[in-house]
Amino acid sequence: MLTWGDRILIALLVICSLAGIALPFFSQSAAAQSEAVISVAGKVVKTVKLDGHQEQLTIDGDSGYNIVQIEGKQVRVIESNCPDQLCVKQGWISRSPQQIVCLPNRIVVKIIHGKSSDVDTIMR
Amino acid sequence: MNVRVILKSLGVLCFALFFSGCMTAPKPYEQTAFALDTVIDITAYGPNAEEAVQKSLNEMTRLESLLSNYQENSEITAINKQAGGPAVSISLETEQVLQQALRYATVTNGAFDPTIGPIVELWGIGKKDDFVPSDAEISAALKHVNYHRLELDTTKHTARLLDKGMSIDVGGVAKGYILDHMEAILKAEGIQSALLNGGGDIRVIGNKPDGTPWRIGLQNPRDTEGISAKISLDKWNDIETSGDYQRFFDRDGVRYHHIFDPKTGKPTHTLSSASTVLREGMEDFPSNALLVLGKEQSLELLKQFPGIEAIFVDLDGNVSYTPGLAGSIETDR
Repeated sequence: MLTWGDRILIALLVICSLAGIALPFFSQSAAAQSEAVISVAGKVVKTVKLDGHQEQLTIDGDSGYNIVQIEGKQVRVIESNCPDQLCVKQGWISRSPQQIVCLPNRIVVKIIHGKSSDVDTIMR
Repeated sequence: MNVRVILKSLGVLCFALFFSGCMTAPKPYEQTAFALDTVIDITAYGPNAEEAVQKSLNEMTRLESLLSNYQENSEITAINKQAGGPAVSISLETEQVLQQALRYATVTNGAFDPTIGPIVELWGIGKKDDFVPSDAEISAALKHVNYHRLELDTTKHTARLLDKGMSIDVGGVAKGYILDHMEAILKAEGIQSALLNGGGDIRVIGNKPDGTPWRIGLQNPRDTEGISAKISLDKWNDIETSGDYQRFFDRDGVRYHHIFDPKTGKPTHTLSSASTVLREGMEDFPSNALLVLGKEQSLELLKQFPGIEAIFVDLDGNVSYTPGLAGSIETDR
């Protein structure tokens, strides 16, 4: 015969096991918030949540600077002292795994999480 | 059945369920590196992924110091500096890259030319401010573009440019060669799942850890937010893309970009991008030559290389591909 103690133990075990299954899903959905990761020469210097706020960041790169603009869920480079200006010409990005690369300054702005392009990488 | 036995069994089951929930997808080791004037993103899975990636990056640095056009002490720079002078001793690696470049030149009948250096330098796309040279300047530079005048001696291991004013530009070939070597090192280190993205060059090892093939997006040449095609690498492990959107400027409605027709000395105006898709172990093929040849001539030439698949995006953004890719590719139009 099951005692009240046994029943409580069974209930606790079932709750714990279900929590074990559910936890990763919750943590993934929390991490699914779109972010812009900014790196210089391969080292991450800033991670910004794309949560709707507006912000401008000046990033010092290897041989110059980029001004990165964040607006809503998108990000772009609005100014750079690099000679080719390819990073500025690229315009807005908002989907993972898109990225903006400024080769001369070795600055990379990459979108992670959030709305996905359904691919593992983009050939540029 | 004894109540205690039921409780114990239930306990084991719940324990197993709890930890099954904790077992999420394995985490990759990711690294970004800069080499040969491009960015290389590496994603690798496995217990020793970090160590393996570091070893592959050391190899990248070593090879770049031999093959770079941008490094003052590289062997390619040494050959260029001695143009019109004596032959220069080169390493086996540089010899292999130059051999491959000359093979590309031969099979494409000069649509790819490793001695395009003077034209690249004259235009200086991305280096000079939106500069368009005169026809006279282009003609003068073109006189020094001729791959038949690059001498490679595989017995003495030397290379020589016969005219002063000639220069080699093998950046694209060197990038592919370096990525192949990085891939080989990752494999030798036991990595079974990895992705290397060197701008327009992709190499993959195996499938993703969940067993599905790597899926590659081909950037829309005219919309940086868009993707022209999605390719599942279920049979292939190597894609190379050349496009008029990678380095460019627009002036008076004309796009000037970094891939030149060695016959005219001017940027190509046939396609906005061209990709080659290859299986493991196949000989590489230069995707930039497809941009020079245009779609029809490229398809004709590729008949001589069975197994090489290709994707073309025309100047209006329409995507077409060789039949072998059917079932593994989705296009936006």
